Amino acid sequence: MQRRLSRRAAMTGAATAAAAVGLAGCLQNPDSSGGTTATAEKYTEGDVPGSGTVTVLGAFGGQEQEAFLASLEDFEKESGVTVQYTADTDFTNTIRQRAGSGDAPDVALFPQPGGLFDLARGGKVVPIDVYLDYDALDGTLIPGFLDSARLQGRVYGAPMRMACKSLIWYPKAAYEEGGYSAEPATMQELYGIADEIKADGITPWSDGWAADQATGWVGTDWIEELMLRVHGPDVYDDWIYHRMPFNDEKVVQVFDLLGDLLKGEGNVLGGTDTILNTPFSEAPLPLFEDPPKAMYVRQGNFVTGFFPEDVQKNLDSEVGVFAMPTWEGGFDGQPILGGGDLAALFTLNDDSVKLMRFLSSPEFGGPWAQAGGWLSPHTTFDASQYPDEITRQVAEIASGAQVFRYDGSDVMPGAVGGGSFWTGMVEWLKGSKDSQQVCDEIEAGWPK
Amino acid sequence: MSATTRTPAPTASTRGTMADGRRRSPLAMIVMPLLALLWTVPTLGLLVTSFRTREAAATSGWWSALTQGGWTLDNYAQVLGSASMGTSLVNSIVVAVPATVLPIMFAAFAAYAFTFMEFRGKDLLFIVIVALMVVPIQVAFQPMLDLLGPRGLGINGQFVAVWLLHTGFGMPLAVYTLRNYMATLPGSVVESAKIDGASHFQTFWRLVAPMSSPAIAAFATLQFLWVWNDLLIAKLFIGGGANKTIIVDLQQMLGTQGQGTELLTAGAFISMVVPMIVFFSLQRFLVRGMTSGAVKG
Repeated sequence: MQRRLSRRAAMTGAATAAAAVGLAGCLQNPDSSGGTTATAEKYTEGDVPGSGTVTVLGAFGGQEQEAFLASLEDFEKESGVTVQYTADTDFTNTIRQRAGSGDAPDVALFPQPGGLFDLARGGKVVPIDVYLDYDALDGTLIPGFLDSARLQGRVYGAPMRMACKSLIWYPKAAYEEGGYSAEPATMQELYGIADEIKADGITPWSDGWAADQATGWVGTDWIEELMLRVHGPDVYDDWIYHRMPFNDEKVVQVFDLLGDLLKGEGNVLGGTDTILNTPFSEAPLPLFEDPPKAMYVRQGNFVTGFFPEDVQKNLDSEVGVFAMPTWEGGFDGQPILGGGDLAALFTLNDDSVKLMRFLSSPEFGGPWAQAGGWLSPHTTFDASQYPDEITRQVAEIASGAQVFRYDGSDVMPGAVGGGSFWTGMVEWLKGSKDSQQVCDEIEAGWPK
Repeated sequence: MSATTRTPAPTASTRGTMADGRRRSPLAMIVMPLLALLWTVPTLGLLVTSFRTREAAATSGWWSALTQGGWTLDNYAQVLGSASMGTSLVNSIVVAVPATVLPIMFAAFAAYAFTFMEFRGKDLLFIVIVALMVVPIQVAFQPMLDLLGPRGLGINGQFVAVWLLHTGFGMPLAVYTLRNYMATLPGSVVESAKIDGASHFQTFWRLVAPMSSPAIAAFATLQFLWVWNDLLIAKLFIGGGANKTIIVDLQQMLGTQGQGTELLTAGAFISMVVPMIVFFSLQRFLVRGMTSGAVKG
C-alpha cells in the first residue's frame, strides 16, 4: 500500500512541477487528451507501405550485436521484414550527422535520452504515441521509465534495454566465510559491516572511475544514488531537470556524504588515486583475488561481463549482489537508479512500425537475455529466460523498486551530464576543489 | 643502412667510415638504435597485449607478461572468426587503392601543368590550391554529407563516395609536393622533347612521370596509410553496412561499455599487415622522395 502511495505521490509531484514550468501538453498520454498543441495523429497500418528492409543504427557491437540480431530472427521470419543493423561506438555524433544530412536510419537505438531530445526538437523523430499503444506500453514497463524519454509532454523513444545501477556486488564465498550480513537495511548498516570488514584487515570497497574522455561518470552515479536516497525522488527530479540550482545545499551535502565514504581513510582500495586511474571494468577484479583485496563494488548489472572468466562461468556460486540500501533518515522507499536504451523511429512506414512494436514489447529479448548482460525494461518479461539466478535477482530488484529513476546525468544537458559533471567529479575526488566549489562551477556552466 | 651492410669486408681504410667516405659518428651509432627501440616500444606493447587475456591485461602491465603469464590466442581466433572480417579486409583494399591512385594521378597531371605549361592565372590558381591544404577536413563533412547523401547525389554508402573525398582532400598536398619536385627536374629534357615534337601527353608519360617516381612513391605510401587507417570518413560516407572497411569493422566489435577491447589489439595487428607490405615495398623510394619535393622547390 505504501508503495502505491509513494509512487503516485511522485507522479503527481512531477506533473505539477512540469506544469509549473509551463510545458505544453499532457504528461501522461498526449493522445487521449484534448486541447494540446501537439498534433496527435495516429498511424494506421497501410498508410505507408514499407520496403521490406528496416535500417537500424545502434551503439553496441560485438557480442551484444550478435545477441540483438539473434533476438530479431523470429521476428524477421514472421513479419518478412529484414533488419539491417549497423553498430557505431561513436553513435551520438554519427546519428546527429546522419540525421542532419537526411540520411537518418529508420530506427535508432539511443543509449542516452540527451541525444534523442536534440533530434526530437528538430522534428526528426516520430513520437511513440503516433504508432504505439502508449497505455499498454506504460502498463508493462517499470514505472517511471517512459518519463526519461519525455520532451515537452510527448515521449520520443521506447525502452528496449534496461541497465540497473543501484547494485552492490561481493565475492560470495569469502564474504560468507567472513560472516558478514548480505542484507543491510540502510546505508548506515552497510557502513557498519564495512567497518567489520576493515577490522578484519580487508579494504571494504573497490571503485574505478577511469573511462578515457568519459572519466568521472561512475562518480556521477554515486551522487545520483545518494541524492535519491538522502533527499528522495521529488528533490531528485527537481535537481536533474534544473528546477533547483546545482549548487543547492542539498546537493553539496550529498557530495560531502560521498566524500566521507570514498575519501575516508582505508575505505576504498588504493585511495582516490587508484579510483581515478582504474577503469570501472577493472574495479571488480580485486574482489576475486585469493584472498580478496576488497569486498564491495557498486556498479550496474553490465559489470558482470567484466568479471574474470572463471567467475563468469559460475556466477551464481561465486558472486552475490544486493540493492544499494536506503538512507536512514532519508527517503523511506527503496529507490533504484537505472538507465536504458531507447528505440526511436525516424521513418514512419509499415515495416519500421512493426519492428518498433516488437522492440518495445515484453516478448522482445529472449535470446539476448540468455546470452547475458541484458535486462528487459518490462515487468512482465518472462524471467525464466535469464541465464542465471543472479540476473533474475537483479531483474527482481529493478522491477520491485518503489521508485525507479533514470540516470540523471543522461537526462541533463550534454554540456553538464556529459561534460562539467564528469570533470567536476574528477576534480572533486582529486581534492583540487571542494564540494561547494565543484557544485558552483557546474551550476555556472549550465546551459541557459 | 642497407648500403653499409652490403659493403664488402671492411679493410683498415674503410672501417669507421660510411659508403660515401664520411666518418661514422659514434654518437649517432648509440642514439639511433636507442630511438628506434623507443619508437617501437608502444607497438611491442600492443603486440604482447594482443596475445594476453583481458583479465591479465587489466591486472598487470604487458612487460610482466613473461613472468605473469596470461597468454592466449583467443583474441586472434575471435577476430579472424568473425564473419565480416574477410569482406571488410577486401573492402579496405577496394577503398584504399583507387583512393591512392586517383589523387596522385590527377595531382601529377596538375603538377605537370603548373611546372611546364604557361597559362593565365597560373600562380593565382596554384596559391588557391595550396591554400586549400589548411581547410580542416572535419568542417567539410556536413556539406559533403548533404551533397553525397540522399538529398544530393545519393551515393553515400558506396565506394565512389569515399574515393571522391579522399581524392579531393588528398590532392592539394599532392599537387604541391609533386609540383615542387618536378620544378627540380632539368628543364632542358622537357624542352628537347618539345623540339623533337612530343606532345604534352607523351612528355608527361615518357619523361616526367618516370623521373618523378620517387616523389610519387613517397606520396603514395603516405596517402595509402592515411586512407587505410581512416575511420572518420569511412564511417560517415560508407557506414557500417556491407561495404564497411576493416577499421570500421574493428570499431564495431566494441560493446556499450567497451566490452571486447581485448579484441582490438589483435584486430589492430591484423589490419597492420597490409600497410606494412605496402610500406616495405615502397620504402626504397620513400626516404629519397620525402626530402625531394618541398625542400628543393
